[in-house]
Amino acid sequence: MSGGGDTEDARDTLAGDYVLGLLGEAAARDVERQAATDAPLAAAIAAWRIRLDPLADLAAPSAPSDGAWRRIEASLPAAPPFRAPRNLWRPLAMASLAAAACLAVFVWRGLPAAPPAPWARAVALLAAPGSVQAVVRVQALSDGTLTIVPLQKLALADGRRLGFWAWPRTEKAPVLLGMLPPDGGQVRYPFGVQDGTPVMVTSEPAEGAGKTPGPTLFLGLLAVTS
Amino acid sequence: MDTAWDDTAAELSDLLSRCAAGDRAALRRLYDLQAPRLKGLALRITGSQAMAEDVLHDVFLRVWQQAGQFDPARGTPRAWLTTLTRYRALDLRRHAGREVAAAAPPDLADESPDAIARLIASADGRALYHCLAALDAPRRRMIRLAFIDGRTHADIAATLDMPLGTVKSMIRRGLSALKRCLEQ
Repeated sequence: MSGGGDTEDARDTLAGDYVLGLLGEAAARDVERQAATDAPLAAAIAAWRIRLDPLADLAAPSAPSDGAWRRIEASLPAAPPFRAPRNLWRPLAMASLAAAACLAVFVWRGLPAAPPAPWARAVALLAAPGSVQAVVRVQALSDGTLTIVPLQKLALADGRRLGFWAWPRTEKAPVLLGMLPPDGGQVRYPFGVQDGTPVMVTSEPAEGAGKTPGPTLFLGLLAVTS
Repeated sequence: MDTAWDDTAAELSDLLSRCAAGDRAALRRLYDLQAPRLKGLALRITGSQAMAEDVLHDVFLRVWQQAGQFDPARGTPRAWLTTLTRYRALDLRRHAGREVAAAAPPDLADESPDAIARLIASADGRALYHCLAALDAPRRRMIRLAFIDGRTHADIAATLDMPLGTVKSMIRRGLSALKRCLEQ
């Protein structure tokens, strides 16, 4: 990082104190405000959450009482606010997949051998720092590429372009993977796919990105799925 | 990151997205998988069965309402559930004006063998355990008091009868040693 080791250490200490829960309420709110515009701080907080999470296992599990679930169930609203009929199309998708598979068996002999389609190895949902609304979906495919799909229209100030960066654990600083058209695209990802790798969409000058990322628009972590 | 909970991470992610789609069976499955762990954590922080079940209620309600907004920038689904539970438990404890539990185990070595076994059941937990074990006992104890027992800097200084500034700088050095160790 251009800030040097001291800045990085200070940022990391702050993130660690925050995740440990050591800060008073006012200081914790300051950190949250700061993290909203400071992507490396947001990434440091996420990394500390993952690092320290196993400590929660020191607490002995405790079986909830019989009434605990009933109480939760009674409090559930009739439908969640972000309802999508995914539970309906899931079985349909499976059925059509099965039908397609049967068909594929019948036509298999007649088709030239095709390379296997790449499958998703990891996924990340990117949100604006400080927000919980996923705006961009990133998939790491088995063929060594990342596909980037905006879930809503990405508006950009005049004269700015979108940069797409990742920060693999093996790298000392974020790496520019490419400039991104507003409707998304695909970039090469010449690193091992690892859980928790930060990926971000940034705002860069029209002439292209420099050595360090511009302001972070959306940030997320890769979650390995297969 | 090589995590032993990769298997469950995928299932938890799937359950969260089904919750966001309004699938109550998915919320029930998530509850069956995670409620005992989360209630145990809440119980450790609040020291009260009733309050721990209040935490559980609030956390699962929030999961139902916000599963679609699960923030990937905040880590894995498991860490998200841990975070929701810790914060809610700390809030309820604070609002109840409850004093922190008087007798917290003094060191990692005094955690029950079962607790250590749970911690080292995952690759991440094992790495964390070894790196914590490499810290000196007071730093290790402070980090644990903060995370698992929900103590603040001031609580810890009072518990250990040490100046606040000393506690802050010891934790700072402890965390940075922990991070270096985990990155090796």
